[in-house]
Amino acid sequence: MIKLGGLALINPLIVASGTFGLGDKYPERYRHAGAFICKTITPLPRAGNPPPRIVETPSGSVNYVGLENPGVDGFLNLIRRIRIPTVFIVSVYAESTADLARVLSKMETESRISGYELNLSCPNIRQRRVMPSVDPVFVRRMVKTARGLTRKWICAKLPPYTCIDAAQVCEDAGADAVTVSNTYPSIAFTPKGHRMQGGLAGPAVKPMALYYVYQTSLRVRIPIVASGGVTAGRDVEEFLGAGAKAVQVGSIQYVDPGALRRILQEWRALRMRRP
Amino acid sequence: MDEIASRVLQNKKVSDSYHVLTLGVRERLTIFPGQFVQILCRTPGETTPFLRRPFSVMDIRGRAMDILYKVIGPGTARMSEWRPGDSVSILGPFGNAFSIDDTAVGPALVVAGGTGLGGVHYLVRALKSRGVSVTFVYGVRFRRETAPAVLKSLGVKTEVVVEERSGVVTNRLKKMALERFRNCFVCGPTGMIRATADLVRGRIPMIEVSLEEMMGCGFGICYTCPVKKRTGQGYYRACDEGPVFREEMISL
Ligand SMILES: Cc1cc2nc3c(=O)[nH]c(=O)nc-3n(C[C@H](O)[C@H](O)[C@H](O)COP(=O)(O)OP(=O)(O)OC[C@H]3O[C@@H](n4cnc5c(N)ncnc54)[C@H](O)[C@@H]3O)c2cc1C
Ligand SMILES: Cc1cc2nc3c(=O)[nH]c(=O)nc-3n(C[C@H](O)[C@H](O)[C@H](O)COP(=O)(O)O)c2cc1C
Ligand code: FES
Repeated sequence: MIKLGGLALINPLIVASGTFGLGDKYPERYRHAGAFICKTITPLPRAGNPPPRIVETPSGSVNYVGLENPGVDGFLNLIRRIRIPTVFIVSVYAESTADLARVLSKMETESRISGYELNLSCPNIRQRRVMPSVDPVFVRRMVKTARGLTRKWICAKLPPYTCIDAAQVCEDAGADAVTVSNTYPSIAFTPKGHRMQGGLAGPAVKPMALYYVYQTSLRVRIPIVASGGVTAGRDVEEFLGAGAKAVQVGSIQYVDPGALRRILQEWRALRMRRP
Repeated sequence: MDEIASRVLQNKKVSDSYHVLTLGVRERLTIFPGQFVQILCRTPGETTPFLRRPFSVMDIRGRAMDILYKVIGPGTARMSEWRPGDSVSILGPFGNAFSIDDTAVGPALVVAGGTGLGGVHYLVRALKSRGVSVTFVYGVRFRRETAPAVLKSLGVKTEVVVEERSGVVTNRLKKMALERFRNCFVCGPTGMIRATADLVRGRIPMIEVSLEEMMGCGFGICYTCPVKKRTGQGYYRACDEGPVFREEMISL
């Protein structure tokens, strides 16, 4: 059992937003997770970006999905029908405090949602207040608005680089935790030569993610949830050692849909072996 | 969606850059024509190439599965190095299938380009076993790439169109009496599918196409495989609602 502020999880592994769909597919696969975070939900449905949306790069991938999702109403309809097997967190994206309030007040009607991850860091839509440099006033307003609307757990998902300063703003505004970090803004070319700007994920980003988790942990007291490049039990141990309280498992699940359970077993075996 | 452990039974070069990989699996798998599997082209401990690669099931015989592949990048280059006995991790089968039961009673036109041959091979066999008369037109860029043994094993009337000699597949299709077919199935590069669909539309009542675009996961959780809807807004997921689509559903 671990505690992330007011939220108790049976283990520190969390399914990262956008890396296992909305939660309606294969729920038996994520029942081993401490928590599940669904793909980011927006006030209205979003079609997402035109193809190509993914390019493989050394030890990872760059994606340009652009938050394809059914919108808050469609999403609530969808999950009404499923049995949720673990702590369920909804990732939310909004461009204004008014929009955020609209989404959250609807989400509050679903008691099975345990908390929110505010996506303040998507590199794939023109969220100019966050990319490439973060607007601390915007971050503060968003977290404050959420805090004023819900007693549920609130975590802010931050971009790399600026997360260290932004985490401080989130803590002051009343966030329960921060996720460090979303994907790394980057450019990749498809094998056919099409240029694509998106976010880099996968083992390639792990050393940077470790750095930002550690640096952020020196600045804030609220729990840090790590995200970036986890593929094995050892990575979990490293992120916890760098100052994280919980660790997200992301794109490795595309390759290994049973990754979460495997990583949990590997991590537990590692801890058993330690004196 | 469990991982299927398999072993290489055979990995045979069938033309200049095409190979047929035969995998042995522990249990009999139920796979329908048009479905695909996701192959891990590295050992689990490595990180490159990171993502799995999708391949159509070319044929299935008991516990042996054939896959036709062309070496074009890091993943398929790795595959070409596999030897009998090597273990291979596959996921699947995924995706929908060609609709052959309800509709395929009349003569069928099957069109494939390049690696699309892998995608229609099993389909042709299934159509034949249902007594459907099949005409197969296969387009390939270079003569040295045609795999005669694979084409022959289909056992249907086949026209091979070699692009370096006679231009693209649609040049050949233009000369055919298309109206006599009831169904048209197309698999291959997107450009070829588009050209074929444009030509055949309105002349053959049912057209189904199978796309070979990039996929992140292959089972509906990453949203990186969009296929534009013909009407209305938004996209289908090629891996989930596809890879086979009624031509009139999508916009290529
Ligand atoms: C459902 C399905 C069935 C398939 N069946 C077969 C088959 O039976 N036989 C076969 O040989 N191949 C098949 N393919 C294609 C096969 O998956 C690719 O050839 C393979 O992934 C190449 O991997 P690679 O690492 O060798 O090359 P890579 O360097 O990864 O890719 C080279 C090719 O992949 C395509 N590609 C890669 N990334 C992108 C992107 N972001 N956007 C657009 N295109 C991209 C390009 O067209 C390029 O030609 C199928 C694909 C799909 C989706
Ligand atoms: C295809 C894809 C889609 C993603 N979609 C989202 C999303 O909708 N919201 C979000 O907050 N993060 C999204 N992410 C970022 C992941 O949650 C995670 O932070 C990132 O992939 C780094 O972790 P990894 O290296 O373990 O994959 C996405 C990542 C990928 C690869
Ligand atoms: S490839 Fe992941 S959703 Fe289609």
